[in-house]
Amino acid sequence: MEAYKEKDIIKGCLQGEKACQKKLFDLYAAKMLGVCVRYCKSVTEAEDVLQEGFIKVFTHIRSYHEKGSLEGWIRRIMINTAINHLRKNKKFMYHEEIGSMQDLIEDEEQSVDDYNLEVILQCIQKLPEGYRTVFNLYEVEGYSHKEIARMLSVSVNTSKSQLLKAKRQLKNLLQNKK
Amino acid sequence: MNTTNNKQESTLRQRFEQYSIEPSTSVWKGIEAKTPVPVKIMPKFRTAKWLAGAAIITSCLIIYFALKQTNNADFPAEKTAPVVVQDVKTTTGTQKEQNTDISNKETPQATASENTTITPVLPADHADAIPDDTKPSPIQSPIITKKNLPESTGTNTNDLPSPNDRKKTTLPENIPSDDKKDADPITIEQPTLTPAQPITIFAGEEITLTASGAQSYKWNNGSSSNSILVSPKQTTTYQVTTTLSDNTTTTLSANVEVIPIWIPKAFSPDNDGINDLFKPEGYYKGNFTMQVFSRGGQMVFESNDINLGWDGTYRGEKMPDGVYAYVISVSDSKGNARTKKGAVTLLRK
Repeated sequence: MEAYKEKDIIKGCLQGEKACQKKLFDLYAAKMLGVCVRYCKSVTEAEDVLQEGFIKVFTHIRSYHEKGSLEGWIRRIMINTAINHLRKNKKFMYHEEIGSMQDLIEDEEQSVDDYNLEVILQCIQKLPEGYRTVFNLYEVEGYSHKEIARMLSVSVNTSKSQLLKAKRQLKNLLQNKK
Repeated sequence: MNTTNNKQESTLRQRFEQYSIEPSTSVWKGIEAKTPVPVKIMPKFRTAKWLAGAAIITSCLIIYFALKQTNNADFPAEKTAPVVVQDVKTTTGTQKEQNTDISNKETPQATASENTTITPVLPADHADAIPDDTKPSPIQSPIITKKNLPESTGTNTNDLPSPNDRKKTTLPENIPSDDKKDADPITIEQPTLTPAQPITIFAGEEITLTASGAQSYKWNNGSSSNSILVSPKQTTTYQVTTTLSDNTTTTLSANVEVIPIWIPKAFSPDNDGINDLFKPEGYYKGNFTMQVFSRGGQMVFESNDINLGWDGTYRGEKMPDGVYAYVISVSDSKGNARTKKGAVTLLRK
């Protein structure tokens, strides 16, 4: 039933029907804003990304081939839009190049699970853009370092080091919150 | 370590998977406005297009054959129209009605000349030969004269506008009844000054005053161009002396009222004592309201007191840096409401 409905909505969007576009938006907007907000500093900024992302969804709906889930496809567009948005605003700054990885590796006894999700989000938003993006892509989205390296056009090592530093800083931020 | 790490990742992932924020309504509006409408013609339209094309071609064919039948063999097809009319004119009423079936399908020329033919009825190619009398000859241009004619079937020549009537209608309507200039309406010069009164600006704003309709201009600030850009600090009256081509001069004046409120363009609410508030400055005692809106259209600040300023927060939360819109309403010296809309930039480090 649900899948059938989704098919109809896609069909309508292919023909550029406003009502179907609105339906698609209503279905996924809130969830996607939840994705975008992790890559941005504020909800306002995330709404900009969301808007840009949905315009891309509607203009490129032809290239969705119903292979994967529609949600996954939209989510990928949102993430790419967010990365482009940060890149466009020249916010990508990788703090330090790869150093000695060994001393960065710390044991992660403290689980992030102890914290409220809102608090975690606030701390993620406080991370520098480079850290934040890699952390989101690896920890939340589940991309591999190789994929992240390709997406951000950085080296695999940069991705790894950014992640470690991101984790360390996030931990500090969370502890300060306590 | 790796296993615990993976466990933590997955739970964090799962928790964020469920996470959602309801976007504000302005997001959809923006998407709606910016999403291009596909230009692809839908199949429905395509068939409609073909049908329309086919209909046009068939109707053309029908008209062509209908004309051919009614036509005298001596006349070429173009000159059919007046001939048909000739028939209509000479036949009685009942026959005329029978003919309407055909004449409805006729070309516009045919229907047009039905209204316009006058006695004596002559074929069109002979009409030029008739010496001009006082009445205009509509045969020469049946399509044009049709517009001037009432829809009556009776083709009384009295229904035609007389040459005098026509001349009158071509004259502009709003000519001042200046007897001197009545003779030629085109040369009338009426100098004007824009914008219209009352002119109100806020302190620090500029305004362009433009005089037009004369040969030369002389402003009381020394300028001799037709428009001046002014930015008075207080209420000022500007005068312009215009000279017309017949050397008569007219002096026009514009009173620019300055509301003594100066509105900053940016502020930085970082508690360093410098520009921490967004607050209009000025010695203004009248009615005052100010509203500040975020980009999403949310009203983040409202005040009726000019001495209160916005500190960049909304419901206790610091608003992000960026551009905010404001609407300030005041009243001028005559009690008229004046509104200023603008944008202020909130700066944060």
